[in-house]
Amino acid sequence: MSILRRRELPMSLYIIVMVYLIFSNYTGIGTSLAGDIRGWGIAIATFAGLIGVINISYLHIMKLYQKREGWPYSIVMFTCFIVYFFAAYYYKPGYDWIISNLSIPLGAAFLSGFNTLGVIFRGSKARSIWSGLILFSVIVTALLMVSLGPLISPSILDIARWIKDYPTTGVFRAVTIGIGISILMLVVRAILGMEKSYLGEL
Amino acid sequence: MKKKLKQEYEDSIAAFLFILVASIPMAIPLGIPIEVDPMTIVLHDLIEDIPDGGIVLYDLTILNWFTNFQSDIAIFKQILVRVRAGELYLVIMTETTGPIMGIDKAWDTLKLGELDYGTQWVYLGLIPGGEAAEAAVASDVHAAKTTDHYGTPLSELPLMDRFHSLEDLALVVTGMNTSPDPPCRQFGGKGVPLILQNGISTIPLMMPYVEAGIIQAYMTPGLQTAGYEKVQGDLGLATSFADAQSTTVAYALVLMLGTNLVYHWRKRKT
Repeated sequence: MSILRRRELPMSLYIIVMVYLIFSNYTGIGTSLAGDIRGWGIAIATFAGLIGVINISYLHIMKLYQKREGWPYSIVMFTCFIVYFFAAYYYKPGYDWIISNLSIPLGAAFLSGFNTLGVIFRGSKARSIWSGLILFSVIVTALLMVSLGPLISPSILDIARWIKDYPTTGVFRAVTIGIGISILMLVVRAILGMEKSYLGEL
Repeated sequence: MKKKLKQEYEDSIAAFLFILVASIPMAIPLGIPIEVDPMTIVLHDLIEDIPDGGIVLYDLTILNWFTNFQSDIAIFKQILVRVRAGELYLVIMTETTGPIMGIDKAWDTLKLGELDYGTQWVYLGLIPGGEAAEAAVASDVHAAKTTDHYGTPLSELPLMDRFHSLEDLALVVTGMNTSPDPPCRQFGGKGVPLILQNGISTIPLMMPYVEAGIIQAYMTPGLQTAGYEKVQGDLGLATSFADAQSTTVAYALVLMLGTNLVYHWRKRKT
């Protein structure tokens, strides 16, 4: 098998770069090269946008070609993409119009609460004592977030602050520690050559 | 036999009532007093106490005028008072594509055009890569990007002569709406104060970092930002939304209680 197709080469590159960055970070030696490596990371990330454009185009072209369900939306997607792209680069007034009259109002409508309305309406049923407790936490925490809360009862806010500061923060502290340990384990696995997900292997 | 209302009709009625309830404060302003959160005072004082001549790095990661950006705008306003007075300097960057859309409109709102570009403020534009970009900027911004958003080499911008790495900064502000871990890892706990502007739901995620002294202050959209605008004496988007948020939350609570009552009533009947 060609050396370029063997997995030892990308694995070696991955491990050497990772060990070098960790070494440089903790010793302060070779920081210039470490900075260059980080710069390559930024250059690679730039191509992620291009990959995104290729992937979404391929997906929608196939959808149009095979006339799959919802194919007219693919035409809408391509039209929006092309118009927005050309307006951004060649017609500034059009671009400003799209931002002011389409993007901002649509974003506002989407994030103003319609996305959570369905969850509140359909998913907030207290089917057991535990889901009832969660629902109670949601209600008092929601009151903490709006100026209406103190008007209803200041003691509700004390309960909400207690929920925020103790049970919720405690749980998230555990989650944060868990994530930290997992990252550390991932690094150790990668250095030992056991982590191969970046090669497309499980 | 009674006909049950179709689900899509129920959803449409709920959405219509939502619009109606959100519109009430436009006709009848409720004028509910806004409380100032203690964290807001901490954030306000932190910005006021930055020594003169300090450079502030503002890392934007999300732009939606009606959610997180109301908080970004409020923080920018306080920083810009001191930038206009010649006391602070501002460098803005983004490591996600979201803020690119419509950011020029934000510059108009903040009247950044009145400031001396290159001397008082610089916009680095997009440095892609998320946390990798933050790490690169923290270690060597000139290696991470050689030109600003408008294509001017950083070497030609006088402000960038004084900014090479995190050590040169007096404050870092990150505006985001996700996990606070990346900016805390790259900017936090290294002697430079860190402010996070983040979604309300991320407060529990930020609290361990606040208690550890990695995040010095945070700002969330909605009520906290409305309180911040009150402290600044410059009312903005958050204040104008405060009443509408109260009515919509009240509606959500009624909806929750109503759906639960109906659910248990139907369950008892069957």
